[in-house]
Amino acid sequence: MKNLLKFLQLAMKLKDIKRTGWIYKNIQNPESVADHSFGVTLISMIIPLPSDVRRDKLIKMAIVHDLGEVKIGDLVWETGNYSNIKKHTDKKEKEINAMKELSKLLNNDEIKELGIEFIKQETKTAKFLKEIDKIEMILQALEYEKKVHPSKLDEFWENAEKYIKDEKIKEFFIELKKQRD
Amino acid sequence: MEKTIEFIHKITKLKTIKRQGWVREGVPKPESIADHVFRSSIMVLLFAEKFNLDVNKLLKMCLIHDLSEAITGDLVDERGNKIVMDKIKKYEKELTVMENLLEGLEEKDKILQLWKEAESMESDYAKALKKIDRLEMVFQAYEYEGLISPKKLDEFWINAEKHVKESPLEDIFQKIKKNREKLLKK
Repeated sequence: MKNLLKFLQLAMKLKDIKRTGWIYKNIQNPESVADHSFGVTLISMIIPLPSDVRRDKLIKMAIVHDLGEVKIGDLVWETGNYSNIKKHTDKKEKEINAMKELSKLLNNDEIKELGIEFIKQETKTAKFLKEIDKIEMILQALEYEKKVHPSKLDEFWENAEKYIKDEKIKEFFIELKKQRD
Repeated sequence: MEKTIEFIHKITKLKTIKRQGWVREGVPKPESIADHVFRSSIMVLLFAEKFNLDVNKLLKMCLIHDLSEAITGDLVDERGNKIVMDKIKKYEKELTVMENLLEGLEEKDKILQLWKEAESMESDYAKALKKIDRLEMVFQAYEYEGLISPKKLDEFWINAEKHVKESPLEDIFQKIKKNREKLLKK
């Protein structure tokens, strides 16, 4: 019981952690990681799926995909097309450890396994969720671009484009780009 | 595709709409509705089993149960032990909003049905969700009581207790309530 409370209080921190990418760009009152996770999860609920991805699993993975950040914060390892591989490897390792540590507080391996599957980016579901993660970021960028000069957020669009491979999501992305133009 | 994008644009508002109960009590920088739904979802992952319910269904119900607030804002219908808004009027208003919001989406019928089930409060799923929703609320109240005068948030505890009493969540509620009492004595 004590551990359960501790877990829930830790998970609550995702409401307070602001997304680092927006902070770098001086966005006023940027969204929290929890806000973002909510967006990703809702998109997972309604987006047309590739034949080999199951919706129930996708939704659960979406909820837990950033949980590790309560331990390590929102670490940025790439900007636009530029990636720092060492930073990325470090981040993955830290996130996996954070997921393991968190799930020790629970009797629930499913959360840990889904989280680690996403971090490792090896399965279909994990890769598809990554694309949704990027689409959500772009939707938010588009909102912020109404408030700041759009050219400031170019790198987010460049970054998302790099990940998007699924046909439906590509359609989605192109439509958003049109709106942006 | 356009409809889907329009829908997501609209629901993005849930990230910026603040929960009214906290705003009213003067909590600085209160959480958004999306923040609240997100952590309620984590609780569903953990607690669906306690209710012997299908976690996937309860999760979906949780994710969509506040969607109409993207358009209407956060409507408060209960305070403490009191009902403060005509529930039927609220339902009718929200139903219209939901129908418009979901128009053109492939998943429209499924989501609408799930939402209606949540609102009717008759099924075990709807009842469990309400309890989880309220448990999430007191966890948040507990955090905020460190920031403002704790007494001001009494009504949230009274309201939650009404809902979680004699349920599988009562033990965890009592535990956090005890922690609160310790906090109040300090």
